[in-house]
Amino acid sequence: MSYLNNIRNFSIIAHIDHGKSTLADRLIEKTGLVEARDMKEQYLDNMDIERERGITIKLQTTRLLYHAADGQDYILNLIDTPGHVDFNYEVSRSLAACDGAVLVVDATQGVEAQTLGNVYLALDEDLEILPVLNKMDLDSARPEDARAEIEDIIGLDASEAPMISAKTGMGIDDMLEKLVEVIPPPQGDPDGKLKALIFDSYYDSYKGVVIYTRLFDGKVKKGDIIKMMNTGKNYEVTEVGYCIPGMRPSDELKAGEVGYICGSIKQVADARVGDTITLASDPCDKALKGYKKAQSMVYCGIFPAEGEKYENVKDALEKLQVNDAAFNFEPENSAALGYGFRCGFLGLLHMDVITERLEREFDLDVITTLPSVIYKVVMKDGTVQWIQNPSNLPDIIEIAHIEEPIVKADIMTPNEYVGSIMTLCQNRRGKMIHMEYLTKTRVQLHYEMPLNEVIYDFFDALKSRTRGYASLDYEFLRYQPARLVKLDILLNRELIDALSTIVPEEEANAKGRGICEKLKDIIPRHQFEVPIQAAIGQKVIARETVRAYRKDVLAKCYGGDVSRKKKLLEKQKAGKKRMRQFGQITVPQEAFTEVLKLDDSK
Amino acid sequence: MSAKMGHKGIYIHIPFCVRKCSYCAFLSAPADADTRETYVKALIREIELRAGQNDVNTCRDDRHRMCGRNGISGIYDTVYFGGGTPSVLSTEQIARILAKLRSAFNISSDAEVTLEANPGTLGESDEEALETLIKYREMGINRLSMGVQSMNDDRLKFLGRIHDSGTVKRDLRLARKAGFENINLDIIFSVPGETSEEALADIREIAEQEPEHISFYSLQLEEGTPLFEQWERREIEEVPDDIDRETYHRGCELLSKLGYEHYEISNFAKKHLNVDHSCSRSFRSRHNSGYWDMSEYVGLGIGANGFEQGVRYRNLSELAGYEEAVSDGKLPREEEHFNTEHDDISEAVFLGLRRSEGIRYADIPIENMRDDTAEPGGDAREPQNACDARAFWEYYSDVRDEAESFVKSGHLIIDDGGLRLTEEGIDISNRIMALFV
Repeated sequence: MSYLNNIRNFSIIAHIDHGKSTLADRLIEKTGLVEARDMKEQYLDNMDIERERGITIKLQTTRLLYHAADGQDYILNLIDTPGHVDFNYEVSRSLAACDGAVLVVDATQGVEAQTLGNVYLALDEDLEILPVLNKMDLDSARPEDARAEIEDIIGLDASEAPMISAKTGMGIDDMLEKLVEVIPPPQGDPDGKLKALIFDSYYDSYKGVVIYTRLFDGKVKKGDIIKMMNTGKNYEVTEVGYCIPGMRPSDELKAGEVGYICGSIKQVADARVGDTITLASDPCDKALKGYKKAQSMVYCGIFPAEGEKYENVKDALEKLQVNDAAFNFEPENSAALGYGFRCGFLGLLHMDVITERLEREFDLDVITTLPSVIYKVVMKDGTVQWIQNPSNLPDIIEIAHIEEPIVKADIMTPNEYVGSIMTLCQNRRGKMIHMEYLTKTRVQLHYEMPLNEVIYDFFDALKSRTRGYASLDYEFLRYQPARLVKLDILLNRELIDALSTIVPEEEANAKGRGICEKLKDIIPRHQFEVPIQAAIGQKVIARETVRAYRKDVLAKCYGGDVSRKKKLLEKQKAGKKRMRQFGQITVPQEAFTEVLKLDDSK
Repeated sequence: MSAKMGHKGIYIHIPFCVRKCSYCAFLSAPADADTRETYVKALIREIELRAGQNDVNTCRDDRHRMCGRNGISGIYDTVYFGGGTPSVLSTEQIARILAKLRSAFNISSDAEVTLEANPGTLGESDEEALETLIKYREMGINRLSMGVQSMNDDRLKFLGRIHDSGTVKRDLRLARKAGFENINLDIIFSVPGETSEEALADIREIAEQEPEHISFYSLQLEEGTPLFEQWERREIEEVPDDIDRETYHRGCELLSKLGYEHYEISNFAKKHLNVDHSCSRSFRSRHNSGYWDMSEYVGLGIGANGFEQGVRYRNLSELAGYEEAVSDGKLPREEEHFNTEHDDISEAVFLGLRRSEGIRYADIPIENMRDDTAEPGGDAREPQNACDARAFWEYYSDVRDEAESFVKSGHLIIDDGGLRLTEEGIDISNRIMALFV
């Protein structure tokens, strides 16, 4: 199969910040498909938020042409992967589309938890792995240590790992030669029955959903009727082609190739990542393994802020959903916040990204409520309710027991931080399963923790306690019974449903106190005293009072002060815009998201 | 046109003092005689530059209205030497500045000419101090503003003042002897550790000196001052808001009993009444009142602010840069802002609300406010003040409900002519003013 020998399908896997996107940029530049003048920093990260945060959320794929030292031209299909634990499933599907992976390890940092997580995903897919040491231009690079870690921790031979600097371009040619040598060509039968993997899709307003796919067998061309084997839906192909990057139509795609397919598909949920494409008239026997329906792990309410229109928020959410199969929402009504939406996300980062996009791309002013996991509530009559909004928790008398989701959390850290991480995890109801020394100085801790404890600010707390050295990887494990109660917050004796949370019974008092104290700082003074109460059912367990406002006055104002004082007043006014009115009480929007971020170290 | 015609002021900043006070965040520092003289020369040069604009129209940019021929035309009826402590300059230096001002600006013969003069800076001996004060009178200074702050010597020491209560009494006696009939004394309250009673005692003692005007301020801990640093180190504690407000309200009450009219948030003035109780003369600060009614003012000297022809500007705040600019023949501007219509409106409202009489709708410069209502031959004509009120609340329709809520809570009074704060409203005036910016 001559043409297959000149194709290499690969991903780059790395921990956040280890230089994956920069390396991808360099490869695109080296292989000459994007003019230097069109090069944007980090070409593949095409959303602003991605570039700003230095993370890749949405996959991109690109086809590179490489003239190797053996005189042959190779087609290198680089399939980029998202770099965050929230998007593990997407990563695994991208890897399934590859035959090999380039493992980028930051030579100044060594192996991280996420690197390991991704390597395991790659090994699960039987990928050939080419380790590469990056950031060799930095003085702090310690390639020998990094090499030793790759060998000790991952068990890969790293003796010939290319040493590169994605930033300066050093060692890139070497790496490409090695890539062609190490990563095997794809296999497949172009004359067989069509079997293609969807590893990404996005919505284009002209073409409908654009599917990124890897063909394992068979061919596909314009006019074919394709069938999605898991969703069972059929579509007529309107265009196929390669991503160079950007879309270049071609006559057909065949086994071993990577490209895109369009078929007037209305939303990405109809072309889900992991699904198998075949021909409706001549389907293959069975779908590729590994398909999972996207599962929301974290929920929060999104409400239009004061002065924002419900319809605008709805339109924006619909637009986002068309392009994001993992994001879902349904209408919700809150006594405190009015009409809004209950939204489900893969994780906290996914949630942050969506809410940020609502504010930036759609210029909306929204209030997001505290994130919540889904609780399994087993009723006394034996029925089960899934509750993702604390205020919907049924009356305690009718509940037999409540179960909460538990995750398996792997934390990798330099050994000196083990003590403080253990304290942190203990405070978060973590149960240590075991701990292992990966090297003399690097430790991996395996915990089981309630997801609820991970989603608030666990990652931030972990980073701050370890100066950013620890890394975290987690995945859903099981539902487990727990003694949980609903904690309500009352402002000026009125229940604010959007502030209700579900907490472990033994922590309810401490949490209630903590929330009241926090609210006392967040809620501005009013002309009257504002009592803040935390309650379980009818029982008040904590109370604080915001003192009445007595003084908000500029004593002096003469000629020199006019501009400065006016700026102060303008600031005061702008601050008020982000407030929400509850009866007589004004509450800043941050109250709804900040209130549970209780720093354990205090 | 935003600014009121008719009243115009001149402010001259003197950035020198004997010693920096522990709470002071103003642009001021001790300096030697040479530095002071160099500064006075630069100041005179700046005045000349402004005067030059009267003769030559050098600037062709239409937007630079203030550069134009009419830049400093009009009559100026207040001059204010502020600081710092302007009285650290020699009488000869102040006289030179005043003379130059009179040659450059058309200053009315009955202008209010104020000098900030701190107790203890007028002269070593009584004779020396009296001589200084007499010279002030002779050069046309007719109002003194003295930073007394307190009559409690421990508190004065805490504040880093160079004087004690004895100095205050002496300087005041000498000022009267020299013929000053319009004197302001500053009082600071809510000094850390001070009770309301102690602050009221200060008022009584200061009022015994019978000044025509009293400024009664609550101490603000400003960043960068020694007091602020002490507060950050938790060595001192701020007076709690409720005590601060108690002092303020009791102070206002006491001052009014003592015959002082409360005319601005922190300012109180005597009234001279005729036999028939009509007011023969008010001792309100004419210059400072100009700030609150959007009058124009010229700012001279480093860091000085001005407001002329719809432009708010600030001068350079570094001595070297300022002196270099004026010696190069350039106006020493650090910043110029061309007020928009909304700037003019919002400033007129928030500054006006500082006055006890508040704002009159008619004084708020809302355009097209008074031109489209009188349909000739139409129905009964809307009275002018109703029309002004309507235009005002159309402009501010989005905050009307909130304003009404302040009326309900007793902080604001809205009537046919305009709006004003109640004494309770002053306590939360920022929040009320913020509605209108």
